[in-house]
Amino acid sequence: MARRMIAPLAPGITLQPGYVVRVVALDPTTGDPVAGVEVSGVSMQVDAAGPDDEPIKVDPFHPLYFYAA
Amino acid sequence: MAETQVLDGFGAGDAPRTRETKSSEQLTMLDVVATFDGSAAAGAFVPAVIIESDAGHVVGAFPLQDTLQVGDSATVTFAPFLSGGAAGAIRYVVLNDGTWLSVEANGADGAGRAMFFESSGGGEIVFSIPGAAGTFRVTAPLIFFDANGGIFRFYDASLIDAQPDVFNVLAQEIILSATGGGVETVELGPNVDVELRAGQSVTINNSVGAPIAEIREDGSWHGRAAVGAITWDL
Repeated sequence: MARRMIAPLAPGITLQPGYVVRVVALDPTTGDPVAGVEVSGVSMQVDAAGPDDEPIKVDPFHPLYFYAA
Repeated sequence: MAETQVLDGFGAGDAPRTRETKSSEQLTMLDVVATFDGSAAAGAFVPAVIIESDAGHVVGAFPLQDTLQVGDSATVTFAPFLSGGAAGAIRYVVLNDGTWLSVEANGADGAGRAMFFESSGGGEIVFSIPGAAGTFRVTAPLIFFDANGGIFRFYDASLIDAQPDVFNVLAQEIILSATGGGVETVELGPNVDVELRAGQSVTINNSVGAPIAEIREDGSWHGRAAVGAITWDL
């Protein structure tokens, strides 16, 4: 069974569109990638800005605007 | 904002595994979890998460503070406010019990200071060496104690031995009190220079704090007691 370990991560990093998250295995001396390390089960827990966070747009020229009013 | 788990994009296979944030997404990272299997690794390795901006600049690189060997497997949680996984790494809000501790501030961040800051207003910062032996040593070109209007106190039940080249105390009030051995002795020497600043004086008080004698900066000696006389026992 794989050991469970913890590592630090800076708080509050916002991933904008186009940002890339890399899960890597690095040589401890050179920092170069180490081949042959298999990575699985990757998941990210995030706070996501979704449709609920968008302000309601009111279009006074939309026909339903007058209907609802 | 809604907390959610992102499972897509990384897949499984040899490192590195990458995921690019979609154009419809704006995500604040809470943690990353990944399992590293080093059964077929080409050598020892350090699991890490690297975040790059859309321009390809590294936003942050967060390595595990330990090295895994060929054949090791580990599920690593990368999350804020977690210390490294190495044995002996400093952790917060827990008792750190280890062989040694070294804190070095060598950069410009935070004015290059290593700070111990007690913010509750009623606590203590304690440096303690239990037992009869040991030394608490502060080595610096300038040692600055600021009691901020309070009391700065050397406290010892037996002996305070101060032997600096220059001992310069600037304070509203200086109290030297020795109460041991049956004889109250404050020993200064072998040569003591008392320098009075312009217009200042040295006053000797009796046991209840009333002045009985005074030496002024102009060289005059004064008896301040209602009774008594200055006697020169030559």
